[in-house]
Amino acid sequence: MLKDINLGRYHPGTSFLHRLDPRTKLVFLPVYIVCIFLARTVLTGIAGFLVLLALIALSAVPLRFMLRGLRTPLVVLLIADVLNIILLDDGLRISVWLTLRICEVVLASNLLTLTTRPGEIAAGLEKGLSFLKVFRVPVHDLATMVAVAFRFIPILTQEARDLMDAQTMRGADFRHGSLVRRAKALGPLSVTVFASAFRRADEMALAMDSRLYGFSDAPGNLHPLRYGREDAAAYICILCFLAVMVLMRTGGL
Amino acid sequence: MIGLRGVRFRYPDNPEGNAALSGIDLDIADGAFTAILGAAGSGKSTLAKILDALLIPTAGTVSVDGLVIDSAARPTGELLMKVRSTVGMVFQNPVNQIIGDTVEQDVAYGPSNLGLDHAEIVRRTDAALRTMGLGELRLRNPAHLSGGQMQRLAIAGALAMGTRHIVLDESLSMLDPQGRDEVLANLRRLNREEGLGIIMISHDARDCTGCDRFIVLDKGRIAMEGCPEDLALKKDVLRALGVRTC
Repeated sequence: MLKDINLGRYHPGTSFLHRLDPRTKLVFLPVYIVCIFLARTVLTGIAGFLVLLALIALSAVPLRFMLRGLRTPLVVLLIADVLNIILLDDGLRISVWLTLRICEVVLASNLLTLTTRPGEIAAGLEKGLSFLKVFRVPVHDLATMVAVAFRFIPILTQEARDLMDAQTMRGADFRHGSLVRRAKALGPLSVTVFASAFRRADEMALAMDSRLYGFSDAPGNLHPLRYGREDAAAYICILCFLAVMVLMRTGGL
Repeated sequence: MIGLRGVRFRYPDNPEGNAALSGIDLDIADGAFTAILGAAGSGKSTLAKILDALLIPTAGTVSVDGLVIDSAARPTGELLMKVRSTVGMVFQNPVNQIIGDTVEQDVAYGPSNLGLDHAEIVRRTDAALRTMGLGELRLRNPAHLSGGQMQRLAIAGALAMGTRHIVLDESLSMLDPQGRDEVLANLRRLNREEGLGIIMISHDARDCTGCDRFIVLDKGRIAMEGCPEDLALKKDVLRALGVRTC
């Protein structure tokens, strides 16, 4: 299951989505999430889904790879769906919408990280939110935290897998038995992974200090962000999508 | 030139226990290849962090190319910046010191934090990558490098900051023999050709082949000093001090 987590993974490529400025993608994600929650009818639901499919095609990330990232959230969603159907009058309809929307949110978020390196996301956040520096918001620190968090996801996932393998060798069973039994088996594992995460974070903080993190008010960048024509086109598409979804919503569609 | 006078250090979370360093007096000449050996807990890593101004001594002074850190006065940000730009550091675990998404971005991390203009960041990054033979790997994800390449990357990151001395804190201990040889060969070349001062911290005397002199720490004090020939002649003494020998 751990290998199914796509969040924080970068899929190298030169597709249209890979080439976009990270700020464009960071603007698109919340706009897209708002749009899919504006959808109330089958027509608007399909519209949101088709936009996502088009983006996946534009990203050149294999669909199989994208869908793999849905496995873990689907397990949680299925539990929620069963509860909705049992407990609510309109449970089936609510479950279908909930599942569709959450899957779209997960896929769109994965699309951002799969086509944007963590450092680019951080640079995009820093530049995009630079106006907050006026209010003394530590934008650079926040952006660095995001980048480091994304960088740690694959490292800790790998570490958890190694630990699971090591414990399986010594008789632990993470694949069989009831949900409670499996959750209990994961308990000691999570403690070890957390301890390792703190140790790694400590070492990385020292390495960053050694390389003068936080000493400059205006740190430079090897590849400064610049908007291109593709970004302008993408912004027009984003605005059009938002406008269509708002109009459909207000028009009762 | 690096000079330590009466350097003591006690970790704040261990006020009653033994001091990590108990009065170190040491001079390290420019361009020297110095080995600092010792068993686990002897104070090697504490000394490494003091040399890079990551820790400030509880007592005594540290002088790095004329920049003086005195335990009596809180160092300014500018002083710390200058010391850390002069003394670079490479840590034990290569994975935990990688910050950039690509090899070139990791090397550029230090120069970027120095607030240099874009052209200078590019120039320093290119030069450091070339020096460490990483030019062809510049767009590679650092996580996909071998251990030896990762440590070369860490050295390149330090070089890009304009360091004159580089401290390697057990940096060879997690490498396979090939990676170890690869990093050592690069360090010797940098020492010989570029005049870069190397301070190799290790528990293993084999990491110090080719050094100009070695120092052995024991319980926070300098227990032994010698020249490379002594490494072979005084194996028993070294072993007694917790140093691994061939």
